[in-house]
Amino acid sequence: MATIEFRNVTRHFPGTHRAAVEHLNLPIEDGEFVVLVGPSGCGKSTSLRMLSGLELVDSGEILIDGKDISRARPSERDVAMVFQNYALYPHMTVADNMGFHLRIAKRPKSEIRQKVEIAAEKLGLTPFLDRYPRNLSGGQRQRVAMGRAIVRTPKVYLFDEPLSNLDAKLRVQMRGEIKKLQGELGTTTVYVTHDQIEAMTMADRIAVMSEGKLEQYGTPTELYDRPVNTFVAGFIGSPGMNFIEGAIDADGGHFHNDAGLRLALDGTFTPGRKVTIGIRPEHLRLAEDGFGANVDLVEPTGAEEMIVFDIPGGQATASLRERNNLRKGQKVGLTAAPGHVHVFCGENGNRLEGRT
Amino acid sequence: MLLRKMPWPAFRGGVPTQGAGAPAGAAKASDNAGPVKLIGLPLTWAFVAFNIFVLVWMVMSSLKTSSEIFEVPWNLPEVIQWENFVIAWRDGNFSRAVLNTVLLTIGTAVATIAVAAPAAYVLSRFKVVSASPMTMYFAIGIGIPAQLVILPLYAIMNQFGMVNSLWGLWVLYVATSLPFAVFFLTGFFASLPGELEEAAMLDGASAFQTFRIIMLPLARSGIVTLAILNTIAHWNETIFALVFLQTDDRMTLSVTLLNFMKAMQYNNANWGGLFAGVCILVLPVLAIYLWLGRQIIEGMTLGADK
Repeated sequence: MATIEFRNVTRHFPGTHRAAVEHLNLPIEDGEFVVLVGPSGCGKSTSLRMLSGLELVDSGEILIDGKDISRARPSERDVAMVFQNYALYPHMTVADNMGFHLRIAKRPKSEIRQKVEIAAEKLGLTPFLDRYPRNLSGGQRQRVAMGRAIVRTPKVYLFDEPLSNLDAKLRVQMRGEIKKLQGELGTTTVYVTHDQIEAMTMADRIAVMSEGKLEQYGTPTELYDRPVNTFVAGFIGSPGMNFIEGAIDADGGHFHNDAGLRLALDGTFTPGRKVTIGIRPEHLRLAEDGFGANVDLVEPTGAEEMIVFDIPGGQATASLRERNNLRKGQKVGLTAAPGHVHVFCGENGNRLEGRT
Repeated sequence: MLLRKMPWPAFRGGVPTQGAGAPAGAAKASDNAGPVKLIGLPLTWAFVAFNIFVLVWMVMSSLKTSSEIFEVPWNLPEVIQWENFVIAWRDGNFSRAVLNTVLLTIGTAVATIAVAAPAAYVLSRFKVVSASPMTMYFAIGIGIPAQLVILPLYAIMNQFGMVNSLWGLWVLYVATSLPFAVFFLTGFFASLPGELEEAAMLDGASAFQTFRIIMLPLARSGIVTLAILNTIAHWNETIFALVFLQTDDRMTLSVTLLNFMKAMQYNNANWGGLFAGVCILVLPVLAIYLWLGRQIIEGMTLGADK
């Protein structure tokens, strides 16, 4: 178990204009499960690879247990990594794959066997120990890759998009298993994914990255309830948050746009300021006294209905749990649930807090 | 067969492309290329038939008397003349030549792979500036014909006292094998997934351990193919052996056969014995081809494909 800290870490790949990771500061506590999430090219995998030692650090420091390891060789860092494509040694059996680190470390065969058997038991891999990776299913290979990491009992586990090669059902199952296993082992874990649902369901804390920079670092609910900018607000949550551009009314307590939409805000803001408001789909409600909206598309999912509305100045998606039998073209009134209208600066997209 | 055992998914993915996928693709291509199929296919079959005919006729003639070969060249032997092989083996000094050739070919294949595999691994996997020019340098070496360099080589080898020496010839064979071997294996190692090296690195393996324990076994298919091609090439090699070897006790099989042919032409013209000598040279290579032909083709296309 270990604490990790990225201190002002920068990585710039030769021949590229912008840094892959820029001035990253990220403290991770002992035993914490931290997920780095963001779109492709945001620097999350580079950050993980810098922590593993597979990628160089141009400037800054990475500390494990307070010790700077940013120049240490990968093997000296005591980290175990689960790769996206599992990286199982194809010519070795499951048992040999899992025990490879211990074999290289010249541990006695009896110890290797014992540790491999314990890990295999934990992961339900005991019947497959003599098989080769090619004879395993995707989920089993995934478990072997995890087993290889567990056998080592390292200070830190690193996961680089480990579920992206699995089908949807298995992905849901495996993310539960990984989370459960990490809870049992209590080992500090850094997990990279581009899937925000994976991030939300697994993480103790999530680091949202974009274009090499850390946008927000917090618990899943913090990110969901109080996103610091429009990027985080739009990235976290599925379907994504609805954004409407406009300005603050003269009274400071309402939002309006040029198309005539008007909404009450929580708190007061600088009158006349250009803002973007954000409302999550589940926080839109049908209300007779709300602003006018036309139904454009109805998508029932069984548990709820996703409705796309034409609203003044654009479109918005609402997730409604009750069945309203809405039809395309139907006119309704819409409003936002009190306390759930996020206000962002119209220029830089940063979150604005209203005065109460 | 060996490839079927290759465990890495990428390879397993690659094999059907060669095995199951490629014929389908080839059929599709030949459907589109009508004239190529119309002319090419009969020509190919004619070439195959001619080769089989020559081979069968050679084996048949090696079991006949000289008079039978000229009088009834297309007939089966009346009495099988096994003694032709005894004559060739004894009079042609083939026993010593076979031993020399076996030692040379195996020694060359082993040394070539021992040098080429690590070199190719470094050239294909290590991000060093000089890797690409060096790979090109090796590739250029493939294009230099042996005849062109044989005189300077002779002068150099003579200076080192390595003319008329099997060690000297072995050094030459290994040196001239390296360009193709390194080029061939570079492509092979480049096709292996880099994540495996990274996983090994995190597991604490050194660069050499990664090469020996992880990457080398995965390149087995390419290495076996290279070993076979190298063995066949040096089993048949004549020019260097003819120029650099001088005494009978150091001759290789191909030169011994050449000498035996000369002797036979002037010594009672035992054509049956001569054909037996040719069979002794050709049949082992043919057996290797028949046994491992599929492996050779798959290994070559796999390396080229990736």
